[in-house]
Amino acid sequence: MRQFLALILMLSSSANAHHSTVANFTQEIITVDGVIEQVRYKNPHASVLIKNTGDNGKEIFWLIEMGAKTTLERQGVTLDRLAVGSEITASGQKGRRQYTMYLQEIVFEDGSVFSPEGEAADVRDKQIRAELVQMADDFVSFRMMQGFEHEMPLAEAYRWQDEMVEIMEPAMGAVVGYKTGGHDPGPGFATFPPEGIRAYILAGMLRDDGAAIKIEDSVVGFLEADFAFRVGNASINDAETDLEILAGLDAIIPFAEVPDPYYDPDTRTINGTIVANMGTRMSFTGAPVMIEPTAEWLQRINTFKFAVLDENDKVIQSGTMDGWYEPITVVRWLRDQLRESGKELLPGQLLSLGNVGIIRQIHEGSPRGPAYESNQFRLEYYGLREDGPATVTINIDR
Amino acid sequence: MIKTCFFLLLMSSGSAANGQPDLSGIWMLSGRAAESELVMTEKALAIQAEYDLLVDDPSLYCEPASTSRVWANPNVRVAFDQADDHVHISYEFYDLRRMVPLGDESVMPDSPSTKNVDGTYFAKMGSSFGRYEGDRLIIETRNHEPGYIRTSRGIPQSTDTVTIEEIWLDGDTLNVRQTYIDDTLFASPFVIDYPFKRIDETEMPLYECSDADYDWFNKLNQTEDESE
Repeated sequence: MRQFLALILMLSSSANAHHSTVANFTQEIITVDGVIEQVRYKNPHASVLIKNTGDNGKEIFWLIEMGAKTTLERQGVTLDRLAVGSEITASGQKGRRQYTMYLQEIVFEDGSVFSPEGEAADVRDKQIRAELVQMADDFVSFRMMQGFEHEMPLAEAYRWQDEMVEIMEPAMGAVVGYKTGGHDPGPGFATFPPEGIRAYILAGMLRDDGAAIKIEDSVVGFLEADFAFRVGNASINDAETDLEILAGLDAIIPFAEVPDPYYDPDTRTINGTIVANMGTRMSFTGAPVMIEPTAEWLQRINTFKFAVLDENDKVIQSGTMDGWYEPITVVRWLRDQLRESGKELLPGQLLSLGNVGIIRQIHEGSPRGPAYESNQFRLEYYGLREDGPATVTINIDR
Repeated sequence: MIKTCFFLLLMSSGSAANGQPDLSGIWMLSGRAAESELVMTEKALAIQAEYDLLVDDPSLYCEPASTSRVWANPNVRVAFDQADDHVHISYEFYDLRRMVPLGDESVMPDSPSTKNVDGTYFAKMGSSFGRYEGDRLIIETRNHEPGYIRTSRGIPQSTDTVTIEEIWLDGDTLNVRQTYIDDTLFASPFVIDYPFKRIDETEMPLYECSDADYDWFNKLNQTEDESE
């Protein structure tokens, strides 16, 4: 057997547990092979004792140290894979004491690898997947989703959102587009990232223009007036100017939705909102309005007016895009955010850009406001079509 | 599992009387400690220069080097039991139990305030007494045996060391601020802040520290050498 040193500087540092890893171990990475003699799962250090046999036949015991048992237990890491008698190769930080090492990884004869960090990550991933399965089941079953309290970068939260959508696809259909929010100048949401948020639109969420919903079709849902585009071609993924982005879109889609963010309010977090796909429940689409990549269309898109009316043509609320958000700017953000997540826009996908400032509660007792009493939520956009307003309608079947 | 666990009778009241902090529950260090500027005297620097981590660290013998060293350990539980006349602090680390009587200096015991579950007292943890000031628990500790506030850097404490621990709640965070006062070692008080978070647990498992030194391991290779 051999013993050799790999002179590689390690930049990471381990958490200080019983004794300081930095103080007790050097930055030099060494590799030693041997046979496992003992596995010691205890405090203050878990460790593996291996016997190394040198080229001259001399046997040396090496102590391969890890964190405290309490730390490993908290991470769900066991040493069950480290069987006495196994031939292994261990790599880690050389100890200041002779024949000691702080473990980075152990490679078994069959090439499989054990590392405390890897095992902890596997345990955490399994736990998160189980939470997502529960969350998805709760959502489709109209039960309250529990909080997602894992601390992680936004990029990782979006990766878990991908898994959440994979879990939901059998019940709610394939991906047909994306939605985003948080780009308007109004007050932000504490559970949205400050730069904006995005989620998936699945086929099973889509409803026809004029479809009726029942009160019980959501738990805490609300009627939301939105605005959407349809992707025309893949050039949008590389578009630089606003007109080039517009050239990658082929239509405006009148768009209203009923989100149903039924989370435990005490545990709701930004990451939880992301992985729960923003509680997206139902999306309503009107007849497409075909567009052209011209300055005149850019002007129209940035300044069109809109209103929500009830079944008696009474205007519930009206507004204008001027001063709200610039749709092409939001498309660019969404495109770039998806690119950072390794995704490209595909022709035919819907891009809902978020609320245009009109929301009405469906249910009584919402902290967001009183319940909508009319039986129709008809969103009209003015100035986009020559022959009248573009529209999308949600009817409420009481 | 039951054999190795202490079951704590935790206070469940939402807030303690008279504005005192309700420290009930199990806590765990939630971030790095923040230190004030450290200016050591010649004496302290000399002690530090003599310090050999591989030999002098009390941790090698499963002993606390100081109260600060105990607060600083990650991934171990801490629990408080508040009574009218005392606060009992349980540290999972080394299975330490610290009894802090409430009152003025006259209630401070002559013996160390901290022992492990086997009944061994640790003078490096000093003798303490405490009081409530508004929403803070204040613990004053004296009679320290020489030890190390930071074992990785050999920052010492002496028999002259006095520490003031201020413990208060800020939302879900338990703050522990420890001020070291010792003119023989520090040009100005040395202050360390520790943040703790409450964890959703009710038990204090036994730590059962063992084989912290390397004697057992060193003997293995000595035997090998001697057999040649």
